[in-house]
Amino acid sequence: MIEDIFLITLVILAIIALNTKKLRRAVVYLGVFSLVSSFVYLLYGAPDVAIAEAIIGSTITTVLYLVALRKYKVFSIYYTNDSNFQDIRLLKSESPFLYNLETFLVKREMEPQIIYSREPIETVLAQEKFDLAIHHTDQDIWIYGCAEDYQFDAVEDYLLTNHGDLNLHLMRCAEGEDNEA
Amino acid sequence: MIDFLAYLLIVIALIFMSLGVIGLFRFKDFYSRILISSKIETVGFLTIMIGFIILSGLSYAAMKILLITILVMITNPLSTHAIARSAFLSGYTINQETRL
Amino acid sequence: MTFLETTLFVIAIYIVLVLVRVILGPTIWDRLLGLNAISAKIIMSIIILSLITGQSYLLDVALVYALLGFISTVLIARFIEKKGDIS
Repeated sequence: MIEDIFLITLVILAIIALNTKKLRRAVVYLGVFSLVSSFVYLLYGAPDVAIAEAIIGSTITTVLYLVALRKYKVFSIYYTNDSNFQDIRLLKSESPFLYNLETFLVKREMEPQIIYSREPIETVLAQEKFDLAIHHTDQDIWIYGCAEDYQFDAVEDYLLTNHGDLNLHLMRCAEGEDNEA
Repeated sequence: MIDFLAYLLIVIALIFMSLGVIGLFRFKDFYSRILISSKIETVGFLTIMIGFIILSGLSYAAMKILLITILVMITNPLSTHAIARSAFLSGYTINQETRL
Repeated sequence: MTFLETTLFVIAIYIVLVLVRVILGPTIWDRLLGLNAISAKIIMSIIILSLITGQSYLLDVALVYALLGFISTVLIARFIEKKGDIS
């Protein structure tokens, strides 16, 4: 009975970890997967295998996946706003522009990470290491990006074709000034 | 008699943990969920571990369970704090109108 | 079923319920919270299993878990925090 519950849980977790769109969620699902699978090893009477699974599966692979994700694919977007802050999900549902941009980046196999900053846009431009900075006022949307980033060219094409009705201003910063923190 | 006390403690801990699981689904935003979950989980863990120590008597295993209890009582609030700090520094704020 | 087996069954049901929150959770921090809760419940399950079978060396596995689950949770939380730095 108890074995059945844990084995069905393992199958569900494996299927979900393969089918997620974001890689960070898959890392968390694999952490839960290795926890439960190690308990299943204990149920079948193999404590040494369980200790190995706990050390390798739960800690070392997590650290390795995180290091690989940091080296490769995280695309950080800073978002500042004039009005007061709101819930992230509410903000996404109010402005479909941001949601569409995130979907576009996921489709290009990037890992978008949107950071909602309370500081003014000048501080973000001067101090933070960003790939894309968005400043959203009432009428206009200012987008700052790196001049030599080829991803920014694709983002510019996408935004000008699909969201031409918004007042978009795309600014390019020189490499080495702002983007290298 | 002493076993009955241990069983009573374990049942109380199970009730605590069921309250924590209900709280995960009852509240609508993340900060309420992490508050209710971490507090109730820690109290439930302490209670159920005291029940196990009483149940296993005065032995080598009881000392090991006591060591595990002390370790978890130190590390569980630390990891909860790390999660909440990560959410706060990334700019997650709750909406004032839909707050419960 | 004895009393301890019933307790193990109830904790297994709690793990499945928290797993629903891990799968549904709207933000990544909800998933991390579920990972933390599942880790604590797995430690309890290992101790119950050790009490049922009477093998006290299973407690070493629980000791390893209590330290390593903490490390992985803190590392994932620090990674998501701002820019993807691990330090």
